[in-house]
Amino acid sequence: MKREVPMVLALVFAIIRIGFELLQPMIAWEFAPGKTVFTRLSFSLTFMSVMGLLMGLINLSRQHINTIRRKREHWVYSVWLLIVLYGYAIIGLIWGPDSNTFIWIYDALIVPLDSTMFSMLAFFIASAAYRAFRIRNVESTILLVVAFIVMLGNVSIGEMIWSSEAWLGGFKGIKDWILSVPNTAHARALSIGIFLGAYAAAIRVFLGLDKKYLGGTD
Amino acid sequence: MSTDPQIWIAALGTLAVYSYLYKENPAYRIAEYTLVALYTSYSLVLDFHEYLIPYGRQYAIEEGQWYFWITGAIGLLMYFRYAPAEWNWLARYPISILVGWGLGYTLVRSPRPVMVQVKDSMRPLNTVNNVLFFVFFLCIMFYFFFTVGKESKFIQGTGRVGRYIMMVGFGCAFGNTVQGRISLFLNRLSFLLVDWIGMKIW
Amino acid sequence: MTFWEKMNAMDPRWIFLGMAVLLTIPVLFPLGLAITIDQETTVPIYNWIENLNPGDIVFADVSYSGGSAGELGPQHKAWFRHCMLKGVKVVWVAQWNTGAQLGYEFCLEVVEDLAEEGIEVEYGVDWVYVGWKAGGTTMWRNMQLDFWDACAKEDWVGNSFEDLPLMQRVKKWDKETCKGIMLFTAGSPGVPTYTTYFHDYDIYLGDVAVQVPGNMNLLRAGQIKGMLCGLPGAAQYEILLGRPGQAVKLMDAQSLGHLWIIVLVILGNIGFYITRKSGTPSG
Repeated sequence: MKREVPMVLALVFAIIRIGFELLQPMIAWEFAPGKTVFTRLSFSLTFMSVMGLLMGLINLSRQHINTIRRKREHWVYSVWLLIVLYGYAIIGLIWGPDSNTFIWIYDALIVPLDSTMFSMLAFFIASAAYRAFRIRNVESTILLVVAFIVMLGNVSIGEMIWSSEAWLGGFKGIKDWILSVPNTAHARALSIGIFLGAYAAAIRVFLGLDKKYLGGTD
Repeated sequence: MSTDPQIWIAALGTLAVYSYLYKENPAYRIAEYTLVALYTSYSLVLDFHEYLIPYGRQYAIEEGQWYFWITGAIGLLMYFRYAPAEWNWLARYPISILVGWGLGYTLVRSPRPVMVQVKDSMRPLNTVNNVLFFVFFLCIMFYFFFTVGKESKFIQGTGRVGRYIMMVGFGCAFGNTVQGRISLFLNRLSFLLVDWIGMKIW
Repeated sequence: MTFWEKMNAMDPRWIFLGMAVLLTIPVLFPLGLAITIDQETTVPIYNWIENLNPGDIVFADVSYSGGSAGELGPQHKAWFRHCMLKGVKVVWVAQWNTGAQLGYEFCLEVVEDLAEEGIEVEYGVDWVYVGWKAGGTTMWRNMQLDFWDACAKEDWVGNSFEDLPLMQRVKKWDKETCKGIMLFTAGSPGVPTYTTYFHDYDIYLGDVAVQVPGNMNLLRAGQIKGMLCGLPGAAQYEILLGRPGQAVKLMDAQSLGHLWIIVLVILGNIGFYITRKSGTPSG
């Protein structure tokens, strides 16, 4: 009941999905006019997953309530987090995501804070470029030279230094060639490697060799 | 200067985040915690109002599709994760169903896009670029997959070239990352200058 | 302590300050550097829309959030503007819940701009924003099977599809209805949804710069037909439209920012070698 039944369920649902994906007539099965079994099954399974919508809220609350209880460092910010968490959730749940207040907060805080967090990396890249980007061997030299060419090929100042109408197409011409030949070879090999790894992991789960998704020890 | 409170909050939030570049401080922390909290609530509200309510109303109630009640009930078992140890295994039921459903997709559908790429790699070797691409591609594959037979000069040589080509790929990634991150900063900068301070730049 | 030792031990905040100043100056005082149009990536997207007939329907996807709005926002607006000017109808979906509202607001901005120029664009007739629907890739498969049913017959702002004239023509997401897909993407879920289930459609990407090297692979394999690459992609599109906008004006700053990084790498390496020779390695 605790491990075997969930494993069998995973196997059964995997086989059902394989059937739907592989067999064309199966995906067209209708149990009522205009209602296919596949769509209803997938809607109801999404419905199942959406039932867990409070999980994020609960996890975050547990973690921060714990911090507050134990008066860990920065616990005051945890209080603030909980106020914002529940305040925004209540506004959204009661008045809906189309409500002016909900969207107002989204535009005033979520979008700008998210944008700014990511944009800070521009500064950290600059710092890393100065402190860590060192020519130590052939590999790092190649990386550096290519990075320079790509950077100059990406912006107008590169065009000013070495025009795309000049020999070899200037920085832009070389950058384009690097991107479309060696870089693409690299990206493709990487993509195939990642796929093989992920597929092997999926087969392990399918065969019941990997049970980590069940969690726990019993 | 803007008189819109929304713009002011967005601008102060932006400056609070950038204040971290000077040093870690309470303004940054408040901004960080606010963002985490808001995103969590935002996802919850969207799941609730954009899926649970409309789909539940239409399918489970209006169309009377009984199995929605069953899958909904199984979904609720996820919360047994927080139950005492003797009950928390119940949370595995919905998870295993969803894992199985996703697994079926992965096993059948995920190979296709990669197979298209494998097929494309086998182009006729009638141009210099096609030849170079194929050689580079093989060298990286050698580097990845021939983890045995390293004493062979051929494997060593191709593996080394493969490693160099990978550095080319990483160089491209670095160059483009620089561009991307600067773009994001410029977006915030133009917000501060144009929307907040009210400069007429464009 | 020698000069280079001091340089190596420099407070990173000076680097940050240099970066901020160098990026701000060209925003305030544009240099007007020329922008080259990318024939292999940008032009195919422009030509795709140019060659469509007024009334043709395309689908577009918002797979990004505020974190990448700086790059994808200008692309989104320029491309949508082009569609509206050409009379191409757009049905928007969103794979990212966190960016769905933002994408909708970008569309409204374009509509407002066009209205100021005297070009009327009507919601429900010229474009529809279906927005985000839960369920990930499987939901997109359901959309392919029965679009109305999968979307619970409702758009992002709660309008019923029954009341939207454009949706009367979009009962199904099939090749007859959809003349191509434009995907603005910053990560996952994103491209694989389309290369898996919509592989026989013409797919075009609006991509963040970080993903461009990886997605060149898809371009070469023909899985996508064109790609707007980060902010330069947006700037190039604005130029093709004959209406240089925000992206074009920010490209000068891009140049100086890139130069600053290059200078930093060179200085860092000079310092590294000089101090290493003198026996005090760093970095």
